[in-house]
Amino acid sequence: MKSAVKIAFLSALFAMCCISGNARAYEYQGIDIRGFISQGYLQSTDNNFFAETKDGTSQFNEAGINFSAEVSDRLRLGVQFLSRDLGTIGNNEVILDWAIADYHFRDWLGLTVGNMKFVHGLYNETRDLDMVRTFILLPQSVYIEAWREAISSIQGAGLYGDIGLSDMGSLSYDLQYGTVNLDSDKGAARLLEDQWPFKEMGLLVDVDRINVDYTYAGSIRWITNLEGLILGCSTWGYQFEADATTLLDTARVPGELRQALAAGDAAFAGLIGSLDDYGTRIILSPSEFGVEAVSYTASMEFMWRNLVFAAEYMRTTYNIEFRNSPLFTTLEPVLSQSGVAVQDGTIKVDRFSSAGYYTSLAYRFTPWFELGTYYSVYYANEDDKDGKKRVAKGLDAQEHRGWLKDIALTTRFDVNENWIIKLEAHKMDGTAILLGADNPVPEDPAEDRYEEDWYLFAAKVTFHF
Amino acid sequence: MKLRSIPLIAHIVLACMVLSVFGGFIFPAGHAASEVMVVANDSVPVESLSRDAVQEIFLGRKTRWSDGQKIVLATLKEGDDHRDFLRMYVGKTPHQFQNYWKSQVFTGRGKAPDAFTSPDELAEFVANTPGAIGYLPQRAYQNQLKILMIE
Repeated sequence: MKSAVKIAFLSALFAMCCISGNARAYEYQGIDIRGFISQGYLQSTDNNFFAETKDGTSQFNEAGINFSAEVSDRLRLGVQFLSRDLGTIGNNEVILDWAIADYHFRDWLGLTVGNMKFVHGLYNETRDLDMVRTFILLPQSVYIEAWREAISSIQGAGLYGDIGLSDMGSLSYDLQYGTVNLDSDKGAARLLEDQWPFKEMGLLVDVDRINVDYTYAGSIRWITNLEGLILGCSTWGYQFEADATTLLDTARVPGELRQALAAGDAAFAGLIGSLDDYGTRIILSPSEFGVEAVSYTASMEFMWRNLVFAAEYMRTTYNIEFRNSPLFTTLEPVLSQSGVAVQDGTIKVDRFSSAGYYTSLAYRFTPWFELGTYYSVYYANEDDKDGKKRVAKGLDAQEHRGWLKDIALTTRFDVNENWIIKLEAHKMDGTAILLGADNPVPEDPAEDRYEEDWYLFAAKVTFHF
Repeated sequence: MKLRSIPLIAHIVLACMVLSVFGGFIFPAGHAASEVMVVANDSVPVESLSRDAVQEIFLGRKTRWSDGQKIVLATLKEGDDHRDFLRMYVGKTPHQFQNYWKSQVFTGRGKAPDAFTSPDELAEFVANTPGAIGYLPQRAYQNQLKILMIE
């Protein structure tokens, strides 16, 4: 069924590319049809960036087609299908990116229902649209790739509008409330698995299901009367539960844990028995995650002729708890030695906040050539910028997992109105946001899992109509 | 991957910057602004607009005239008149304006304005479409259009 949808989607996209002839938007009986296809290539040194980029990968693409129509003066309907791939994320499954009914009461009040693009920062709504920006990869400090589908679109309802402020410019606002379908094989699930604090003890998790309780997002942009200057702030919040399979990797279990498990053998009777009698991975009682995340972003964009300057700061606060009563109760003696408190089979992680910021500059030298650069800094925990605490707690073996500093340089070539080629280089310091699933533990214990200093190169070709 | 690639990228960037300056593709900085006038359909219930209002209209933030009539946008696809109008009244380059509307369309937020190859086509569309507003060089003005004063 999925492959049939994929074939239908690609056929429709290809047909539209051909029919539109001059590659402009195609209109059929009042329905506007537009689309895009991007194909990229990623190559990195030392670390894998959300795909097997050390070997070079072309599993990096996006394609979308949208249909929209104005049913009346005030009512607009639209739908966009999207397919994307980034390593194990997306895999070119066709998804409903957005599908909306939009009623425009006044300029200061509109209502949107359906599956809307998620408002966050300056560029989240357009992050799938390679053709409207200079960079291939948005700064990871504010637009983290692992969170991408979690904050791509929201199912529910939203209010929006533009309010004139006379000599002060105008205000644009968006308020959205609803839920999000999060797949267990996407980036958010992988990120959650990386947050599991017992990896170094040989305890692993594999997220099976995520159930989002609620999501909200809000954004205000002040279009100031200083020409080209926009100031904004946005927020979003999430609450979800996840179910995960818990695995014991017997090859990595430390001695004290073995003793604890042996002592608690009654609780695990028939499940693990003598560890060495089983394979390398044993399934234990399932774990549950409870996650609350709240994020705030401050934004600034300044356009002056062919120059675009942008700067954003984002802070996200997490409340996470892990529940696995049989396992945690048994391990309580071991965990308490590490300062981890178990209460009613639940471990609550101390509330922590990640933080990041970037500044970017882009200049269009000619109608066909644009150059851009940005500097982006991200800290996985703003109270542990040097990563020492996370290593001390056993969350990670390497301190540079605590930050990611990225200097990027991009060239964009507009071959013609519809074709764009981009080349981009990143000099990276740190390895925060990289996923363990993409960077497995090396077989040689003397080899480091991650390298602190590394480079990432990206190339992308986009066609749109 | 070896880091030999970096000098290659640097060379490409440098070559493009040099081409930009000497290759004849640079934006005409010394171009004198053409006499662009803002025109509207006779049904439009205003005689003048502020510059800010023109900007809000052409960015889709103001969508109705004072009598409730829907504003219909008409733009030129390219050319000096298009570039001058956007610079003077919208505060964007043609590329930025195009990107703005692509963003609106591909995120479900709006419908891109009708764009015309020639001022004559645009004039005819505005003249025959209630609520329409556009811009023209003075030479393309037609009598049936209302000229809006920009304050």
